[in-house]
Amino acid sequence: MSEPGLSGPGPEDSGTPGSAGVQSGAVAWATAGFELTVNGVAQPVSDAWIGENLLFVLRERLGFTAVKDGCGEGECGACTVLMDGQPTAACLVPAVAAAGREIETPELHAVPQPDAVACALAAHAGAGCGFCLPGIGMELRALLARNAKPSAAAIREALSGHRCRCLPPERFIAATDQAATALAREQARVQAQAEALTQAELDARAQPMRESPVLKSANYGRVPAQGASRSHPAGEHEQSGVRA
Amino acid sequence: MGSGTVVAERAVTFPGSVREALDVLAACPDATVVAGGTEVMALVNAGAVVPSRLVVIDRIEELRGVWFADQEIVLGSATTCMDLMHSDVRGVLPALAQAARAIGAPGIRSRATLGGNLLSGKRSGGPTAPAPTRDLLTVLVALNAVAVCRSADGWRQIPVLELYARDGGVDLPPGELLTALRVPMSGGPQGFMKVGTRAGAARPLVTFALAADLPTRTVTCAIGGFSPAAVRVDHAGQWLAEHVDWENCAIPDPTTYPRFARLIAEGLVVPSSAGPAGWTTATVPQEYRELAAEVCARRALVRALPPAGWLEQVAEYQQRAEFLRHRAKVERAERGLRAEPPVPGQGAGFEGMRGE
Repeated sequence: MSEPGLSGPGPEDSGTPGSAGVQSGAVAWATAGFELTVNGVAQPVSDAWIGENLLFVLRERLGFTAVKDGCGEGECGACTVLMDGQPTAACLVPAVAAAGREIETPELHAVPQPDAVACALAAHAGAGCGFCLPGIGMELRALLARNAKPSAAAIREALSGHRCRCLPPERFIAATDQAATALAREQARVQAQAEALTQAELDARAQPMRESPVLKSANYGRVPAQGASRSHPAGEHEQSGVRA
Repeated sequence: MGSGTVVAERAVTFPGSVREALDVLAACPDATVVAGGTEVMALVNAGAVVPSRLVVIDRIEELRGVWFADQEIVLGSATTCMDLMHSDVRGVLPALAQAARAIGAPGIRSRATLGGNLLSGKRSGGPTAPAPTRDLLTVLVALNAVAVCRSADGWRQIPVLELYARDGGVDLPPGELLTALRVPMSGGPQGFMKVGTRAGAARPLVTFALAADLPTRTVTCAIGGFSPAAVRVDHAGQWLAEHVDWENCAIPDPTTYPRFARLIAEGLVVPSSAGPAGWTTATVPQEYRELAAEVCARRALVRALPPAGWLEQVAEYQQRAEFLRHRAKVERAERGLRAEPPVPGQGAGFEGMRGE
């Protein structure tokens, strides 16, 4: 039995730690040790008060600070993590009850290399304060995992529990669309690789797309799609100059 | 009782079966039972509850899931709202699936359980406590559900409303577990509607559920969200049953809808004591709540029992639209015009994207 004063930072939202400190002999804080599986790595937790929520343990004991502490009532969605693949408000899960379940925090997807969802959120919703974005990102990852091309209504319903005070929902719908497009492209690429196509075969297959005479005359090598469209006016100008 | 004394020393127990859970509860009556934790942890985070022992029952397989029988459907008490939204449940209990979908946000529904929705909050005779809004109770009352409880003494089966005492507290003795809810299979149309303080996840002002039973030609409806327990509105149900065309499962007279809604709203008596929703929606004026009840009742009825000839009209419109589509395609082909309109994204799936 450890008292809140002794076990480092006491549970910050555990009611009245001060009064418990006064009558420290009378109140026994039930503690437990357990092991959480966070982002695929086993994380032992010892001497945690049993009333501590998963959010507190993840942030304060294990250091996963991408999970945000908003309201502590499940209203704001900032603390959303994935438990066994399902979006879950971490502030409403007793940390001991999460033992033995696969927990994914935003760190897995955005540190050090941001994934498609994180990139799309940064591009479309980067103008806000960003406090709600880790939770929204986890919700969108779960949504895109079960629905590769969600409609605007599905996106709105999925994000109904996430409160963003900075930006309108259209930003998040646009971000989800971009992430869905990027994921589909990535999936198509992986599928193509799985079909054991060599790079040359991929080029040969993509060749009809670059049949434009402009590109042929400029004698470009392998041009990525965005580069092709961007270099188009310059090439045309060059060619017209030759003709004149 | 050897296992009981061993687990009594532990602060947290994960019973694997109902029998084990009952043993633990008998050994330590002050334990806090946690299934999803979404209601308990909101109180713990706010400091209103300081648990000394936890009994986590969300991994008891006997308590999770839905059993479909010939005459009834059995819902395990630790079934989550997300499971209740499954299409199999929606097929036989559409109102329950709609109510489960209206609760909270996806992050809450993945943990929140049926039993927690019914049993959290104030105990009978205990201190006042902010309670869950019990949206699912409204549907279960309209469906005449039976609650199945189990204690060390054996089984106990009671109508779901008898889980609550007169003061709105949960009347479940310590050491007893709600294991399941038995819902008689009716097969008739059902409707559910909820009006909250905002469109998304919110505490409701009014929840309304309606279920029609085809063999007996009766309609039961219940209203809740403003008082601790939902209430049956039998006079409105009986009145409505006389105005339904039972052969076609429709309502011939369109004025039935506003009259039924008025009947529901007039009977709305909100108690002055704070109900489950009262602590956040107490400032809502009574006129608005009555208006919300009226709208709820009308829309739920339209969804459950559409006006006579309405479905035929929709089918006719769809047939006509299909005919026009075909005729336009044939005429374009005859004139040698392109079949596809000049807009992107007409290809199936991600056709355009793969070409990049």
